[in-house]
Amino acid sequence: MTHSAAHAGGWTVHHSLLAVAYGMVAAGILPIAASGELGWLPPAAFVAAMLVSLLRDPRVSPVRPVTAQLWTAVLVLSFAATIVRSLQDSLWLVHAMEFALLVTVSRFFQRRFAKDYLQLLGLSFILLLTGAIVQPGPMFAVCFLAYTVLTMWGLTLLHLVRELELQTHTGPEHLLPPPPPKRRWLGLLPPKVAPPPVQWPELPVHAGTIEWRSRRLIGPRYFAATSVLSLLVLAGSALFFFLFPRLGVGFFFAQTRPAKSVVGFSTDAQLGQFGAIKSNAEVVARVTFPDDPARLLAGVRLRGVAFDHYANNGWTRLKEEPWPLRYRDGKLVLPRADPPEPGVSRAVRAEIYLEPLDNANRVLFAPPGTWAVELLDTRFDYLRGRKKSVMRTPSGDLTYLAPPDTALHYAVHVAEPVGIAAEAKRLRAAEGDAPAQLLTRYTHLPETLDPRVAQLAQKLAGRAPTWFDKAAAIEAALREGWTYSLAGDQDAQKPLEDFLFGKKSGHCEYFASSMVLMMRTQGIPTRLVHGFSGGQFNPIGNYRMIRQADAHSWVEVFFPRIGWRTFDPTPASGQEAPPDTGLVQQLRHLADGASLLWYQWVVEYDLDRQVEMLRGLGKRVGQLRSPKMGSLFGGSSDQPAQAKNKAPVPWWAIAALVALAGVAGVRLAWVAWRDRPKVRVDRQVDRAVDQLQAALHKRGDGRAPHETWSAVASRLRPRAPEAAGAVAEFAVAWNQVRFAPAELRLDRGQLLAAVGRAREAVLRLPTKGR
Amino acid sequence: MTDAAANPLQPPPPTTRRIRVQWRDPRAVAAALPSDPILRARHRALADLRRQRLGFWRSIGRSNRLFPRKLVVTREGKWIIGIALLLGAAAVNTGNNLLYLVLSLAISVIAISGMLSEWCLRELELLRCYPAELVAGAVTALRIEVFNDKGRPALHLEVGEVTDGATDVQVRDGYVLHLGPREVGQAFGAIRPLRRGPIATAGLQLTTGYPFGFARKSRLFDEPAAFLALPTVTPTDLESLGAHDRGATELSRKVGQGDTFAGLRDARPGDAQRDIYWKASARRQRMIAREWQAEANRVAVVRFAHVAPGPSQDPAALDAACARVAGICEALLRGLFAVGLQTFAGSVAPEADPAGRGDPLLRIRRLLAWLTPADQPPPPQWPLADADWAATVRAAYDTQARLQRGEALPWAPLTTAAPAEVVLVRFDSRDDVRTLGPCDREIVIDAAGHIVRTLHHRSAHQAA
Repeated sequence: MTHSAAHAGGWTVHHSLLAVAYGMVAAGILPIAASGELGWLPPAAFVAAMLVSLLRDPRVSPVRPVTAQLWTAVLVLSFAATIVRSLQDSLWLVHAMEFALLVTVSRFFQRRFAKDYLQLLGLSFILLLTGAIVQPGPMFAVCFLAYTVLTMWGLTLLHLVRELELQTHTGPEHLLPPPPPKRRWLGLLPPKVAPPPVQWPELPVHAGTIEWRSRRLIGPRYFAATSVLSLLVLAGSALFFFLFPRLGVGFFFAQTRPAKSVVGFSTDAQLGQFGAIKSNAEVVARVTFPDDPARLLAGVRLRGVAFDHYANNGWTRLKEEPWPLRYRDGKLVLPRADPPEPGVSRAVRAEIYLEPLDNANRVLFAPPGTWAVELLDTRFDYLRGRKKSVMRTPSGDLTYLAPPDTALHYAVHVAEPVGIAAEAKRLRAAEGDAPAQLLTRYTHLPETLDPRVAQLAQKLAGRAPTWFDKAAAIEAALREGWTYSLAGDQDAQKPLEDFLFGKKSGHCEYFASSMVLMMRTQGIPTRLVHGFSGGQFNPIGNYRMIRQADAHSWVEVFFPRIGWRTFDPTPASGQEAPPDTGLVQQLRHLADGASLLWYQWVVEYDLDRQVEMLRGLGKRVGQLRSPKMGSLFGGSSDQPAQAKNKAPVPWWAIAALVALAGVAGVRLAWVAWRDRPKVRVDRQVDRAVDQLQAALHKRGDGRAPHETWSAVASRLRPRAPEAAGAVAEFAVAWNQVRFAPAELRLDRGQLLAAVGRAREAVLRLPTKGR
Repeated sequence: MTDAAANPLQPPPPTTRRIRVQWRDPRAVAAALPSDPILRARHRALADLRRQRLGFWRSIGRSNRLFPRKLVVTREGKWIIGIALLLGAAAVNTGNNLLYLVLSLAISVIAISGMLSEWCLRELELLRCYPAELVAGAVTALRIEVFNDKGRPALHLEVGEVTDGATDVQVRDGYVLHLGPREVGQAFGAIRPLRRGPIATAGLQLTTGYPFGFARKSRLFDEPAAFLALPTVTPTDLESLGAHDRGATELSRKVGQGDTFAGLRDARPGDAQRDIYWKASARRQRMIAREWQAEANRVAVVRFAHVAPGPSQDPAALDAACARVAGICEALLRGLFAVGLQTFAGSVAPEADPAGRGDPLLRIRRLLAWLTPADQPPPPQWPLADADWAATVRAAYDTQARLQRGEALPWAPLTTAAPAEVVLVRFDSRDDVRTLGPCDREIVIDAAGHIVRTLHHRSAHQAA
């Protein structure tokens, strides 16, 4: 069968394979293109080459040998160039990706046989692998899902095309000249002489019939069934993925992802920086309160760093050497921090999932009043040589040590004041002097400060009796007298003065800076704090999202024998970034929830989480609790009383029982399905036909395997016309049952009756003499 | 096989049962070694032959009942397994979870591939629908019906006979692209015996590469098949035999006597009333009578001295000679002789073939297919019952002894109704063969089956 005859008109299996192969390559290239590692030009050129290659079908007009050799030369040169460039700039991965794209393009233009498509599929797999390394984000998850479905289609179609090539003699072994025999042992031994192939005549079933049947096979039902197959593959993949022990040595690189850039948490901050990021919805942290989920509905304040020195329209802070925190009762306790006191403060525990941030000082964000920190998911870090620790600077800023570009999951214990009035009373009663060093540091004023600032402070708080009253007065005055605005149009030379006395509008940095300077003119130690405030509740993940737009500045005032307390002079409208509304909000929530799931349960899935997952599974099964759509940070004990009364069942026993029950259930179901009552028509008819054949054989007129029943009847006719007639009648019935369309077929009773009559007639025959 | 060997002139009985039996352990099937040293040697030789053909591992694997499937990993399968192993090493080494994810995909695809191929091969039954008699060197199509008894489709099926590495037969598998649920399909394979004689296949093998072609999984059906490869017929002229056309000449003298219709002629005075063909007479407006003739008037018995032409103990050494003998018989039949065959192992009664249907020649070729050198034991794989095989071996040694003593060899008994012309066919390299009784003509052939010379002997027509 000629090549052109095989590909005449219509959508064939080859077209389906072509579409799927291109789809797989696209799914593989997408994460690489999205990562930006190659820039925009190579991916764009690649896509253009893909589209151009569709214009020509190498199966109809094969590539000439000269062109193939040209491609080979280009690839060899490109490979050499890749090696040279990589040696020069050490960007091995980038140059390897470029080379892989070039190889894929060459395969696009030379695809002809199944082996070429197999190479395309293999290259798409390599692209997907590379994408896994350079783009670990949720984009890879989407591409992976698409790739899995396309893989099932592609592999089954590829196998079908290969089978068609073999059966219709349209493969490379039939259409291409045989390759020269390969010499062995680098040419020292002569080539192996293969035995000549066996020449067979043409099949009774024409090759065109096989091609036609393949077209009928590939249809919507085929793709639907194969898609169901991909679900099975995904389920299997998930099972292997979650159960495979995470005992990676991690010699080369640990599980990392690109860090996010944040502004305002380094050693200096210029006035006006926060205004530029107020529209940035990128999530930097996620907070949840396992013991009190209702708190998620209110805003959250996370303290970052404190600045102590103002000059030249900007704040700086002293670079201090942090001290590591010490463990006590399983927690890293902050020195000189007050744990919760009955009647004064209550204990609040928050879990925070901090994205990898690109800040040089690795700031650990925690709410004001934090007295202890717990590092989570660190049980098996020692196995991989990963160390995480939390440190504190003398000024109270928290920092952490961890492998670079990795997220941090931790819990903070906060002592929250019981009531505002009680706290105010306590602060008013604070007496004593601040330490001299602290006083010097946090009452420093710039020499070029406008004297009107001190005048204003005196005017607003000069008559207040206590430090607390002064702070409250200035805070209230700023909130009521000045307007929150993100315009950022303050005077570049004297932005603070312009804010206070000119435009009287600005964002949180201006409010906080103004209060800090005014408080310092009153001799009260005050400092500027940068952090995050507000956030947005994500009902899908049941956590609070802290975004770049939630960056905020506020003030901390020192009270003798009490410590630093938070004041926020920014009007309420500016304390929290405006929430997204409508469809945008829901989509963002969904995307963030999915992103968190992806990172926690796939990208950063480790031995800790694996053990936790198995234990959680055991607990849930053992306590017969219905799983709730709870926090993503782990199951919360919302029925602690009931749990205490029940004796815990070992998780390993539960897991073993579940596994055994599962296996037994699957086996039982399979046996029941296998042994289900099947249609008995065929068996009964088979037995009757066997009896007829046995009767014929006993009488010397046995039917040969290649004989039809009509031929048997013809053979019997000269000797036994009556038996021949009965057998002929059965032959007609038999052919109708086997070959006629359903609507013309006889029913079972009619066929059995015909067989019975034929057998009776044959039994009446005498045995044929030999 | 036993029935066919016991009565080699009859074709083997047809197979009517659908094959659904899994592969049985041949070691379990084989009985304990018999006490007869000849038979013990045969069983050992069979086991050695099996190991030699299959190789050590395959002979063990074929007997493995724990995993009654044969799995051959294809090149694509080796690639995917290699990639999975590399991925596993990379993932464990780096701890990159996305590499674990891609590794899980690869493992899952391999696992699904194994499950689906098994799913495809189950609940399938086969039925052979082809003749049991073949012709050496010729290709015969094999039609195998495949019954899909399950409610799921079966795809990419290859069906073929299992030869266990036999070198005397070439087999090609048939192919079924798609079998729907509870459908019947046909697979057309081919078989080419390379020599004459009985050929046994060990069973049927059903293979699929579905779904991805990573491996070719086979299911073996334990239903041995027996074929008889008839020798070819080497075209031979009557002139080369020196027989001329005496049969036809004699026939013309015997026209008018007999019970076979010869033709129509004008009626002559003296013709019997019953010989007048009234219908033709009315049509032609003159009296027409039927002509009768005798069915055969010359009888020839071909005696084939099937001793080994050379030192080789291969029954294939006789193939060319058997083809030549068949050619001689066919030439004689064309010359309207009633031809019979007489050998040391059996005989075929003389029969003519005036209508050219080929039945007498077919019987002769069946006997020729079973012949082995009379002075050598048959090969151990020759499909005979133990007792028959042992008797054949003893007869071969007895023949050797007789030849060494210079004695005549006994022919198989054959009776003819009429005096027969005896044509002896022997090898030119075996002058030590002495025959009982005279022969009218001696045809000497070489090991390649060419007629070297034809000798005429003036002796009475007598059959042994």
